[in-house]
Amino acid sequence: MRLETARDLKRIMFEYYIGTFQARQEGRRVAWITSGGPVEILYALGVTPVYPENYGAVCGSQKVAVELCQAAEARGYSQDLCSYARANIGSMLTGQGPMGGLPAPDFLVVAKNLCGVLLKWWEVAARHYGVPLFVLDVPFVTGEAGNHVVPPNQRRYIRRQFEEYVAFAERQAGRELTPELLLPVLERAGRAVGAWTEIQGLRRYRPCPVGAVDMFTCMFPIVTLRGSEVCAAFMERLAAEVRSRVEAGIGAAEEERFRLVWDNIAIWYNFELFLQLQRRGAVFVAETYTDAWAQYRFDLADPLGSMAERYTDVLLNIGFDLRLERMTRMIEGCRADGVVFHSCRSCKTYSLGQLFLAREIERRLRIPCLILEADMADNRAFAAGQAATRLDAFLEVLAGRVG
Amino acid sequence: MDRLLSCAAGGDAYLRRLKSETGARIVGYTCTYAPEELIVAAGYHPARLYPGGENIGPADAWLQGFACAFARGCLDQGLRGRWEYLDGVLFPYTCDSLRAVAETWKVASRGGHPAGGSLPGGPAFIHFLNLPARLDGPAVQDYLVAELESLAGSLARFAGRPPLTAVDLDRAGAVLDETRDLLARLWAARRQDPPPLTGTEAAGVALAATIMDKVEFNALGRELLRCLERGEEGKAGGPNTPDRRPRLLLTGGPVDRLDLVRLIEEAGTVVVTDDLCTGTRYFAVPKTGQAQTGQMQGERAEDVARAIARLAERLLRRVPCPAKHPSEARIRHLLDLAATCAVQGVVMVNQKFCDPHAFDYPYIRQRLEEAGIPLLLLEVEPGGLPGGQIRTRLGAFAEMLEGGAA
Repeated sequence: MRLETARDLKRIMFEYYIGTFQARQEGRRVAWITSGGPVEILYALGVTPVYPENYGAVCGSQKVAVELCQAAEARGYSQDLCSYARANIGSMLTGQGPMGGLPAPDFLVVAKNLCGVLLKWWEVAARHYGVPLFVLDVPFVTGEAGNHVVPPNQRRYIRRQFEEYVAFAERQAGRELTPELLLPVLERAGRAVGAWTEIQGLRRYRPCPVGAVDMFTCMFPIVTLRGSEVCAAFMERLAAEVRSRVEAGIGAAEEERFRLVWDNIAIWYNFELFLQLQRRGAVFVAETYTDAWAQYRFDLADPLGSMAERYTDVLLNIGFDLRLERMTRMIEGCRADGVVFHSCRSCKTYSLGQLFLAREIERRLRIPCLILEADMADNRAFAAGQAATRLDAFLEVLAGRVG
Repeated sequence: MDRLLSCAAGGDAYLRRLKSETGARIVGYTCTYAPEELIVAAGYHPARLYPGGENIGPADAWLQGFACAFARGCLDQGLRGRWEYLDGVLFPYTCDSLRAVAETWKVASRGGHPAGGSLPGGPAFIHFLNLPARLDGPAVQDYLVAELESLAGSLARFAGRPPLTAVDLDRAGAVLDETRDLLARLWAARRQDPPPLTGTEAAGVALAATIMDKVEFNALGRELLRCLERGEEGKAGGPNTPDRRPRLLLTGGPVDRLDLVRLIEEAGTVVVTDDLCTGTRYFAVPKTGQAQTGQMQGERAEDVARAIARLAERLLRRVPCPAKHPSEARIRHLLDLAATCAVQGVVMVNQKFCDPHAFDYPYIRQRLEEAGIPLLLLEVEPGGLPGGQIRTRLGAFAEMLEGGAA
């Protein structure tokens, strides 16, 4: 059963995208930013952020990614490249795609805390549009188990680049970033992320009140509108509804038999997979992907410093040991019975390491893990029949254990 | 030439012999952003790791098939125990696939992974050099210096010796400067028509430079250059053969497969230069107008910090890997070489699933089109080369170039 509040999403998405198209007429700058980028600075400066990765997800959900990817491939972009990138580049080259493509950027911001692909993709966009590009380079957080410490020289490097970023964004926006502009944005972002975090916590109850489909769709505002009142209000309404479900003992599934964790991005063109599993009593009670946005909580007493920290140890920028630690805490916290790893062809930083994680989780936590090969937006990389068979087998294994 | 080429062909045999005969301790590295100066200054022998042409086996249990072929191959060879003679391994941070290899190597070295294999008696020294992806700006320079200082400290501690001094660094720098200079002069000699050595031979020499003891390599390199100047080494195709074969530039990442270069030349071409990390990107030093070797004028030899800063500058100013930003300097380098070496065609050799190189392909193709230079793209996967397919495509490419040149 889907959440009522989720109905608001259509309007929110529509208004967000209309806003991006009207920005120029209304005298606002448009920036393309990566999903791990410090967008709060842009909202504070009155810049309209656009998310090409989210656009890739939209293309995937609307099942139109393949055509756009093929346009990029015809230009020489390898089919082995990230499908979000190919879809967006295909849209850039042809002017086609959902909503007629994205509005052209006035400038570009890439935070290299998710992967190196974004850096190359943003370079392509910078050449195509002939606009300035800012690169926020975030060194990899290696760490040993239990040691998140980011060495001082790395912290300094990141912090100095944050200052560079602010100066760059101010020049582009034509105004100065003041606390009066920034703090309200951070405060609203804090409300939204607080509510999102609360929802993740509420999902630990039995029965789990919210499943994967609602989480993957309801994450849209927190990715693209973080810092806005619309997002904060939506998240608070969402949290309230989830709370009331928990109080009433209402679960996402009619009958909850198995509690599962999903690793990696969603398979955007196949939400039916989640719904089918749910009908068979297999509920996703947590996803490493949706949980990742609980990361962005900042200290209003030290905005830049806390932003620099929180944008550093994001999920895709930490070593295998740290990822295992996070996943273990998640699995134990929500008392999961199994894990499904989406081995996503497009996403090396997310997928490489999963084979190790799966083995370790099976060994240490004694719960079954399934590796499911697919892609988040390009359905040519998804063998539906095979996936169904493997999921069936996985459910049988779970049934044998949980009963 | 023979000694250089046999080292290139049998790197492990050379390194094992070096170890047993001289007691050398060897630090392997996966990427040419490795600061060999620091390895040499600490008393170790640097050796680049190459996967070769074996099919993937144990690495399948660790990294999915869509990891870069070169990276997966390196991990696979490591898991097979091929490099059990290494004393250490250095992973410079450049790309996502090699980052995953570094993490895997670290984890697998702990042992206890019966299902996934492990690195038998893995090297005791494993260092991830957390290089910046950016090449521009003062924050980058300071950060890189700090990372290099940290590596220098780790190497010295592992070697059980006092911290590296400026004299250690300057000495090592001088040896490596000469290695790079010799290769640059050799590549310059290849501009002749016909070139004095084949592309296959040159590729072998460059590989040997990353495996051999540098002092030994430098001596052989000097000797080779003297021979070339005296006209003693065979010209490509024989001393009296008028060379009408189309002149090629190879661009891409690592090309450690000499059989591939041979295939390319057997199709009726001659490779005269390259933009490869196993080629010019390893040794081409941008002209800075400042002395690259030894001390800068008026500077005290004791200043370790300055020596490290010079090293940092070299790493920031070298022809960049496409995984670094800004990446434009590599395109300029490629176009410049194409012009100065009278290149008629370019063959791009990309490792399958290498994202940075694949992203640059359309742009490079466009720039070469503007310069009137045809481009052929080849992809390399682990395992044996698909010789038949490659030969057909190369043959057609060579014919097309000859048609243009006639």
